[in-house]
Amino acid sequence: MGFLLISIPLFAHHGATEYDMTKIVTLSGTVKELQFVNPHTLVTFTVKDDSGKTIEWQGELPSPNLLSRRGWSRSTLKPGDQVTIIGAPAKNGEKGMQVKKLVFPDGHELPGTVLPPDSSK
Amino acid sequence: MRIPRVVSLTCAALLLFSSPLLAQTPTGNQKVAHTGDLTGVWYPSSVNTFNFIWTDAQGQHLNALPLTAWGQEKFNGNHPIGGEYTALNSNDPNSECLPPGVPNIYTHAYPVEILQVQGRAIMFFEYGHFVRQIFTDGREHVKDANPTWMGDSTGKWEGDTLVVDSTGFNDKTWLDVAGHPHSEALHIVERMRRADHDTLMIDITLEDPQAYTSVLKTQRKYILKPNWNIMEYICEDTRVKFDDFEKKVGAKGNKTAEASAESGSSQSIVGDWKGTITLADGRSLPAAFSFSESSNGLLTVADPSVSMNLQFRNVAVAAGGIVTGLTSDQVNFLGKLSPDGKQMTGDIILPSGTGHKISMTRP
Repeated sequence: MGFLLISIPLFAHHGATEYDMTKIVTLSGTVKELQFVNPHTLVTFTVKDDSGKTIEWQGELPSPNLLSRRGWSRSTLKPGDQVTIIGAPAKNGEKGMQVKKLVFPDGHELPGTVLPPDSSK
Repeated sequence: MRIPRVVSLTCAALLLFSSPLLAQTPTGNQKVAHTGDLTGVWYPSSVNTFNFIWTDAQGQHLNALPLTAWGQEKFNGNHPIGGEYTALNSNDPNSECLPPGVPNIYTHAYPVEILQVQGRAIMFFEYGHFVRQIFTDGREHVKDANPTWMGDSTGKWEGDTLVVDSTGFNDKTWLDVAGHPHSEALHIVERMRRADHDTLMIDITLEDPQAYTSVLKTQRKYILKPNWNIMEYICEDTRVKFDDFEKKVGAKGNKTAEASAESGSSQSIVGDWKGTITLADGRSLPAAFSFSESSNGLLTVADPSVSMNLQFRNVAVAAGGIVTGLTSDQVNFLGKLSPDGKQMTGDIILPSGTGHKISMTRP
């Protein structure tokens, strides 16, 4: 039960039906590109598999407006940045995910597809 | 040459200060109508469900909306996202970046700023920068209005509640993300009030005799965000690369989904259950559950003050009694079935990270 995930229908353009919300993947990635654009933010990154082969993944995130209110900016992820990316994988086995959280090498984290709690702060 | 300029400026100033509006206001001759204050930037509460929870006029949950024959035909032709439909093959107008209309715009997880100016309340939605002007100056609806996406809205204050009456909608939008249609006869009454300083409640009542045989009601909750401002959001930006991504992750296969379905059997929870649901806000309410052999289920709360009627789908029981499923609005259900199969506890996980807790037993 430690893998409770949050599936948020933040998106007008599609739901979260593509992702397996009962699973979580944690990947150590090298950022290739951040598309910080509406209606969805898309991050492309590479990971090394067990044999050392480089595999490209993509992760979707909410719109820049929503992310910027949670501490993101367009320069949050730059090509070459090392970051741990945690998310729900595509059901069909493709290398795609809905990103839940980023963890940076210094330990600080940024939320992905999660809504802020009800608060006027 | 300077003097005439000064004179003309003075004249302009005199003209300004002699306008009827400004002349009357300081004297107090005109009684100022009471208005509440809904101004501020409001963000959808995490307790809102993606799809509306519809009730009838008496607040009873509607498992299916009371469609007319015309409405049913339209509904049959609408293919919302979910199941076999993704953003790529759904005909949801939202997927085309068309304006969502009312009340569909309330399903978008973006803030709205309410501004109150002389004779108007203005809803300035971040999503698509759509605007609703609600005329509070006593005017009637536009006669024989050319239908529009956001409709024609008039409002009047009842105490601190702004009662908004809207007509004049086109029939190109869906009421909700489930694809429920409406006609140009759509008539919406919204009661907007501050439940407390930081909470905006919008009670929505609509009628559309062409599409529905009776009145529909639903509700939305918003939270004040004092330090926010409305940002630019344009739906159309750079969809190209994202559509490619959508094609990739949306392609059929469902390897992991099939695997999880095979690892357990939905049979073991088929049937009726009774129990309680403890809402994220702490209220504990009696609830009834029913799971069918099609691995779908329904939760209804037996309390007329709470609009909750959650449909589960793809409910599966995996090894160890872990029960997974999605609610109708794609929020997760994750539970645990007791070894004897007679008790189930679980969580409906809300966007805030909190959730509704469910405890149920076989009756």
